[in-house]
Amino acid sequence: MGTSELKDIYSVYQNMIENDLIMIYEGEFSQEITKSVLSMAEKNFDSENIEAGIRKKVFNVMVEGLQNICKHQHEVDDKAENSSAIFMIAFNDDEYRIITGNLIDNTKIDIVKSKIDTINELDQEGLKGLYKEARLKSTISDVGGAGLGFIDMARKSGCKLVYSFNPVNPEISFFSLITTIKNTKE
Amino acid sequence: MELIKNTTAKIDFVENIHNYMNKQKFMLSYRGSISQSITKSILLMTEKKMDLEHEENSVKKKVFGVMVECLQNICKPQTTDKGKDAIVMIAKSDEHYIVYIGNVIASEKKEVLSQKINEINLLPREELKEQHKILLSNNLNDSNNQAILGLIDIAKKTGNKIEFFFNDVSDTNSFFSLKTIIARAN
Repeated sequence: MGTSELKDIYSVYQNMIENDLIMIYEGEFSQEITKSVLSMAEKNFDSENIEAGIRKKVFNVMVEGLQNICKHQHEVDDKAENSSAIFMIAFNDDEYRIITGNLIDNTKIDIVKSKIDTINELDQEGLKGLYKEARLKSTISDVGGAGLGFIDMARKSGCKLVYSFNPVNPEISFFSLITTIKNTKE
Repeated sequence: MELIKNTTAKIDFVENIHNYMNKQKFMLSYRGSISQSITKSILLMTEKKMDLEHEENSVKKKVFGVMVECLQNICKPQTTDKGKDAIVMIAKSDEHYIVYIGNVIASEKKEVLSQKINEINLLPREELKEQHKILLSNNLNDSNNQAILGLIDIAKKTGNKIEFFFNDVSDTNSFFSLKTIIARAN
């Protein structure tokens, strides 16, 4: 291996600054990894003196995002080279952004899309109603997930969920999701 | 809806970073100030990752040792410009773990640093041990000494050459990147 990637470290550093990123984890997600990601975020909260209300929201969104990755990471194992996913935390004076990226089976895109689009149309009251509804449904069948996670993320965030699907091969796509939590007192 | 339109073009960075991390086999990237507690959580995350890989204890110990030196002695506030962040990246291939660190330094330190690392890279193992001893008995409050001690320790632990690179940041500052390789199999 040459030093080419060593020369790149500065670009990665600049890229992280440009996107406000403080942490990137790429790979497989286990329960233990999830825990240590959360603990790293906690240290950041401490050093930035983030108030309890914001912490709780960011934490919730992170847990949902990580769970989402964990739940779906092996669904595309036989269709992709690897099932590696990405989790990032972005932070600036105004907001936290929790960013996840993972592979998804193309047959599931429409469902996920419509779930998120529906969520993005709703205000807090509407989300509350949808959450109750989804919770009732989810006890019967949790296979595809009733979108509870997304609803919860939207409720904690108070902002629209930003997403994209980029085709990777004829069967799978890369699903990116950004959830923003404003760092302002209510 | 406005928000979604504005950011969809930018959301591509998620997949770009994912692809880059994957290609270079990076598992973790952290940008920020390196505090005691962040050091702890970076170590914790690396430990969990190595557990997931059922890594041998001897390898774990070396990776840990190298990371501690990198985080505590080389990438420390004294050698980093005030207010500037450092970056820590960890990569894992079939044969190696690779630890990268990078930080902004005053360009005037470039020459001394290069000279020192080149010197260390030429020293045989026995000589490294000797130098280590001599430095230990010297004044440890000197941050330069600590950094050099850290570098010698890394060379001793890994048995590999330390690679480094400088990018120009400004007229007075440079970005110093360092790469150390730890073999997985003994």
